[in-house]
Amino acid sequence: MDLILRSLDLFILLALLGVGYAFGRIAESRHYRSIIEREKQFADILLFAAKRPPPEITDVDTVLVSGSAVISSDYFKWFVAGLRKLFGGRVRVYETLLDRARREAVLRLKQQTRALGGNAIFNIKFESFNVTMGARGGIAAIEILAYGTAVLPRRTA
Amino acid sequence: MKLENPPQPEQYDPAAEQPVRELAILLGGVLAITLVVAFALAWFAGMLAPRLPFAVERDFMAGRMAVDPRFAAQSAGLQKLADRLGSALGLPPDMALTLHYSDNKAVNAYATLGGHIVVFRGLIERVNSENALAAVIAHEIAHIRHRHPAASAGRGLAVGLVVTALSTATGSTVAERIMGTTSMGVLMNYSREQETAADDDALRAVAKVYGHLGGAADLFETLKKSRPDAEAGFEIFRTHPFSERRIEHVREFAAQHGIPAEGPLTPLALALPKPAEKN
Repeated sequence: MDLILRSLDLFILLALLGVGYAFGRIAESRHYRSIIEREKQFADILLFAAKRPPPEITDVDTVLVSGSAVISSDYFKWFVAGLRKLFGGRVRVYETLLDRARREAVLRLKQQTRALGGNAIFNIKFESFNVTMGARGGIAAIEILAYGTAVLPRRTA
Repeated sequence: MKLENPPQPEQYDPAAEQPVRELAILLGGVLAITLVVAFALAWFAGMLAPRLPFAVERDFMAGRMAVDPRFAAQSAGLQKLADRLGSALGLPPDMALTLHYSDNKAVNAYATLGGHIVVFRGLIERVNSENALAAVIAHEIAHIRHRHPAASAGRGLAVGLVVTALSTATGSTVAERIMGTTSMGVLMNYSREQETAADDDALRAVAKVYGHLGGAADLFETLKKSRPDAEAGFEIFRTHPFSERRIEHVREFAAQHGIPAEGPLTPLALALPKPAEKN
């Protein structure tokens, strides 16, 4: 106990790293499970980077759809990334974070499309925003916004 | 035209990631770089600073530290003891000592640039003999003889400036903190080395003046009891070695040099001023 009190800084750091690692890892694997599951559910909604539907698809309505997700880093990821930027190389801890944010945004896009009765999205685009919480060098959160043109069956007038 | 989205392979396998290993490697890299830089600077500055003539230190401190006239008697008493110990240690004649009594409850004493030694009331109240007080003063004189204050100031300045500039330039808060703590650890390491060297000299001086080492081990016992906070945690983050080890060292030193570890103690003849009224 005494050892902990006297070297408080070190133990706080270790505790934060431990909490960040444990909770970050649990959140990440839970999120991935959920993403993979929902991607199967929404597999029938198709995504295309092409600007317009092929000309043979006629008699449709188009509507702008968008989905966004904000995912926060954890203390552990932030710490590792902070060291990584000295040496360069792949920031692996952030690669999964961005992958999750992108896929979550697309899932929300698909969800919106399905709610509108559509089954395809064209001209899909992504935007990303860095939401830095707190002061300089604070723990980062990332927002990914996905948007595109959903193709819906034409509503009979 | 066929429109479809074939399933894509997973790019990331969270189970295969080894973030802790990555952390260990990166941390090891930063630590290694900081240790090399800090040790090199500390060694260089610590070697260079004591090569300045002692007069530079003395002139730098002139006018910055004067003996408090209210405690002239106590300071003179300490001065007498220090001068005896100084000649026992073979202090060069140009290294004049100036002893200061400080009416402060801290159980401590320190030596600083220019041959100034400050002894606090709290320490004098707790030592039981002149021998124990002599061990403290001899320890501080040894610091001065080895030019430890100059070396420490040089090291602190060099390591502080360079590591701060370097760590800030990384632009990484994480790296900044790690580099700061590591370089502090390096300075503390040198500090503990100085303390051990000073302890050796102090024991030699006490043995020469009193013929035995009685009182020296008592002193570390007293320090241990009165400053429990300096004895806990990890030694690498402390400026001084733990008292337990210093007591052990007194015994070893006595055995090694064939000096009696105990002997008759000389009572302390130093009248302290009346405690100041508390505000």
